[in-house]
Parts: sequence; C-alpha cells; structure tokens
Amino acid sequence: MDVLNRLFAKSNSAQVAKQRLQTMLAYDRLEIPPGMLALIKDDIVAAISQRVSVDHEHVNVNLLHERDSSKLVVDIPLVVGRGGRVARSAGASNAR
Amino acid sequence: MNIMPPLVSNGHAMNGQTPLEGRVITVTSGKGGVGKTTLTANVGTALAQLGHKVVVVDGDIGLRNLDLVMGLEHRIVYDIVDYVEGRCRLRQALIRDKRAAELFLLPAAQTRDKTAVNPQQMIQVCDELRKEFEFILIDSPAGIEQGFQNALAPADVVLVVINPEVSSVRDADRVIGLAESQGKTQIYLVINRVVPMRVKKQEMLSVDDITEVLSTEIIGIVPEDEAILSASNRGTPVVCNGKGPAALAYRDIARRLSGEQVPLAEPQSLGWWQRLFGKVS
Amino acid sequence: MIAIKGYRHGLLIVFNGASETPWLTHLRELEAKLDATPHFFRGSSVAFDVKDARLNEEDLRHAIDVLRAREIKLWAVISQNAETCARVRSLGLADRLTSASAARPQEVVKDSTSLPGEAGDGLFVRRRIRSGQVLRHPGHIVIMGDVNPGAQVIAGGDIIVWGRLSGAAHAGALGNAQAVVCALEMSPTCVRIAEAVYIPRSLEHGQRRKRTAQMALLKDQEIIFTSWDVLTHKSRFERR
Repeated sequence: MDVLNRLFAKSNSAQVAKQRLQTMLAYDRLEIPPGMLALIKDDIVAAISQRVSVDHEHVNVNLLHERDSSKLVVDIPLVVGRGGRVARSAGASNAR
Repeated sequence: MNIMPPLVSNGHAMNGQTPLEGRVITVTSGKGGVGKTTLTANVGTALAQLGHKVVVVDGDIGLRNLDLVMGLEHRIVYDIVDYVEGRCRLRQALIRDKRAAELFLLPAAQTRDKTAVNPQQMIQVCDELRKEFEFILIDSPAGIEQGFQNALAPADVVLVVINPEVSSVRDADRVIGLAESQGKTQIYLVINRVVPMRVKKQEMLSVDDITEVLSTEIIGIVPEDEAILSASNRGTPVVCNGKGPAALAYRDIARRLSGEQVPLAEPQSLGWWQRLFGKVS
Repeated sequence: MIAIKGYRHGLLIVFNGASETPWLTHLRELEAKLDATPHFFRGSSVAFDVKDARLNEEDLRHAIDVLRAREIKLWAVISQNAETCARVRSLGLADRLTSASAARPQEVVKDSTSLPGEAGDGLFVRRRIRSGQVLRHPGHIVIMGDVNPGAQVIAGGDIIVWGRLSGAAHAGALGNAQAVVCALEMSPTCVRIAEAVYIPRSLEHGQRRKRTAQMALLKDQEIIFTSWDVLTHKSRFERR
C-alpha cells in the first residue's frame, strides 16, 4: 500500500512539474511576466465595463500555447438586460 | 555556536513600527547545482515560520528559478530589474508567500542578464529592504562573475554551500577567498546532499576532510533526501510540511541563524554519526 | 639599470638613472629581464617607479604594450616629475602606491641582518592561501598557514610553508637555482625551482602523506626531496 502511494505520489508531482513547466516556458518565450495576466484581465474588464456590463466573477483570460503560436484567449460573460446590448462570448472559445 | 549577535532594533523585533536593521545573508557556492536555491527557499521559509520577517531575493538574473522552487512563479509581475530601472516601486515587485506569516520574494528578471544590475545597485536595494525585513536572503548564481559579485556586495553573512566532493570543495575555497578579500568575516559552510553510506565507503569526503581544506565554520549538514525532488516539482519547500531529514536540517540552520544554540546534527544512528565524523584512513 | 622589488602591494619595477638614458633603451632592458623568467611575471600587476624621468603619453603607451604582450598589467607609475604624473593620470593609471587595487596588503620584512649574497626583502604571510590566489614576490616567501590546491606561490627566493603545501610552488623564479621549497607537509600539485619542474606521479585523494617536514631542492638539474630531521639535523636524501 505504501509502495503504491509513493509510486502515485511521485508520478503526481512529476505531472504537476510538467504542467508548471509548460506554462512557464510559454511565458518565457513570450517574455510576459506570469502575473501580468491578472493585470491584463483587470485592464480588459475595466475597458469593456465602460461600454457594457460585465460579469466580473466569471471573466477568464488565459494563455493558449500551440506549437507555432501563442494566443491570449479571453472569455467575458456579459450581464443581460441592464441597458446594454446582449452579446455572446467574444473571441475564440476556451474551455474553462 | 553563537553566530548572531542580537538584531539591532529600538524595541520589539516584530513590531512593525520601529525600524529594523535587517541582516543580509548571501547564499553562494561557486559550483552550480549544489543546492543553493533549495537552501535559500527552505531556510527563508523556516525563518519566517519562526516568526521573522523575511525576504528571499533571486540573484540569478536571466535564469531565475527561486520563484519556481517556491511555487510563486505565476504571480510575478515586476522584478528587481524593473525596480532598479524605475518602472515600479519596491513593494510592487515583492511577492508575498501566503504559506508563512511574513515571507516575501523579490524575483529576478528572466529576459535580461547579469549586467542589468551592478553591485552598488544591489547594495541600495538591500538598504531599502533592511528597513522592512529582519532577514534578507540572496540566492547567488553559480560562478564568480558579475552575478556573484552583485550578491556578495551587500552581504553581512555568507553561506557557502558545498557537496562533499572535490570540485565543489575547490570552488568553495575560491569563493571563500574572494569573500574574505572583500572584507566579509562571517562566512559559514553548509554541507549539502550528504549520503552517510558513501562517506563510509570513502566515496564522499568526510567533515574532517572538508574542514582541513576549508577551515570554515559549519552551520549545517543537510542529508540527501528524496523528498526534495517532489517538493521542487510541486513548488512547495520541504520545510512547509515535511518531517524528513533535509527539512529538519534546514530548520536547524534557520534556528542557528536566529541566534539559537543548536548542536550540529543529531545522529540518526550512532554508526552514521561516527562514520560521518571519523577520519577517512 | 632596472631593479625588481616587492613591496606592500605587489611588484615594483624601479628604473634607476631613468633620465640619463632614453626611455626606449630602458624598455629594451625591461623586455630582456621579463623574457628571462616569464613565469614569474605572467598574470601579475606591476607598478613603475621612473624616478625623475620625463615621459610623454607615447612613452607610457609603449610601456603598457610591452607589458600587455607578456600578460602583465601596469596599474601605477610613480614619478618625481609633475608633468609625467599628469600624463599618467590621464591614461587612467594611478600615480601613487595606494591599496586601492590590492586585495590584501602583504607585510614586507626588511632583512637588516642579511649577509652579502643573501636576498633582501622577504614576504611574510600569516593565513591560508586559498584556491585561485597567487602570492608573488621577488625575494623569499614565508607562509604561516596552508597553501590550498589551486593556489600558487611564486618567489624569486625560497618558499617556506609552515603548514601544508597542497598547491603549486615556484622558488627561484627569477633564475636562482639555489632556491628551495620547504613545507611541514609536502603534498603539492607542482614544484618548480628556477627552470626545473616536478609534478608528483599521483594525486589521488587519501594518499598517505608524509608527516615529516620536507625540503625540495635542485640537484643536477633535477628536483629532489629530503626529509628535514630536526632532532639530528641530518637530512636523508629521498627520491620520489
């Protein structure tokens, strides 16, 4: 039992490391500081909120890195019926 | 061993109202890959766990990794070069580690190189940090060039990390010589990644061997511990929740740095202790 | 007439009678001296004392080039002439012997009781010489401490290590074949006396070290080691 736990624990931490590394490398290649995303998200929400009502809590800004390209993928749910236009999500859809 | 005189302060050390005179501890080695960054992360965290206000500074500009070892990489917005070049305030570059009461990280830049900061600027940064923090730990890069010089310049205490093998000891000797020539008097040795069985088999240098060549006071002996790898994978230093031999050793180093008298290493077994300190004949 | 001296912060090259001969002649003489024993000077920092000579910028640059070609750095020029001093400063060199560039001041002991034929000043150092450090002196060098692997000691005279010699030692580096290297514990990576070189056969860790004081000297152009038997003042010759 202990052996199994250790086996899974080890492969788990390697998985964690791999995920962290992939994210880190994407940031490094783009030369964006990782914490910048949070700031970008705030900027975007602030800008859009000036025109339409935004569902702040469910806004998602992510870095999508593929082999040849990297994208900033933004998912901004809007609030319906508060005097703004009704709109579906903007940009490419991204799994939350 | 009594290492630290009491911190100079006007009142309670933990009282944020009185100015603290913080102590800069530079962690260096000469040789790369001996465990400086892991040590900085763990001892810094352990000092914070003891109640001190601590900042760990990544001195490896261009190849930052202290943030990774501490698991704070996703929160970096500004770094030390941004502050030095006036793009942000120092507070904005500091990242708070939520795992300990008062533990902060000042990250290095990833896209510049060692020449982005000079020793004088490093001293100025540390002078600012001294006003707020009791302990400032600088993770020095490997080598003896600009990055090392930057990390060494503001140091009050120098921790030289070695592995018990000849090239590491030779490099440490060089580094100790350089530190001494810069007027550093508080220089201590940490022997990292010790495997007692290999000492017995004479594959690893013993503490006596090392002391003969370096004649520098030892502040800690950290055994090889497989928990370190998974800790690094997860970005959680072992002292956060670990009870393994390395975690204990790191906490002991923190206690000694705080001024506590902690005897050097508790033997796991009498045989291990004897082998470690015995003369290799 | 050029003299090489060791002083508090390193090597000093003194140009006696500087104003009587052309500077170019002095440089030729210097080149000959440097090329006679290149090992002694390579990698060193030196200062000049040009006495009352008047040197212009071209003279100084010429000197810098002569030295640079031999991997020697000129860091200061002392002169009694104010204009020369000004030109020295304009080239970024020091015009005084201060300790700014020296890592650690070294004590120089003036040998006031020396007999004719004995070398003059000796350098006395009381610390461990660490890897990467180089101790260089035209006279004798006495070290009270160990010399670590990776350290170098280069003397025109004898080298006496009151401790363990584990680094490299070069005695008689200015051409004196009578020079010796002594150590309480002799386990060097390399011993040189004048032109001769000795490198031990094996350097494996854990090698049994000789616990008696040893002296290395040149005999028939070969370096040999003798035990220094203090009690009987006899020495037994021993070939390694």
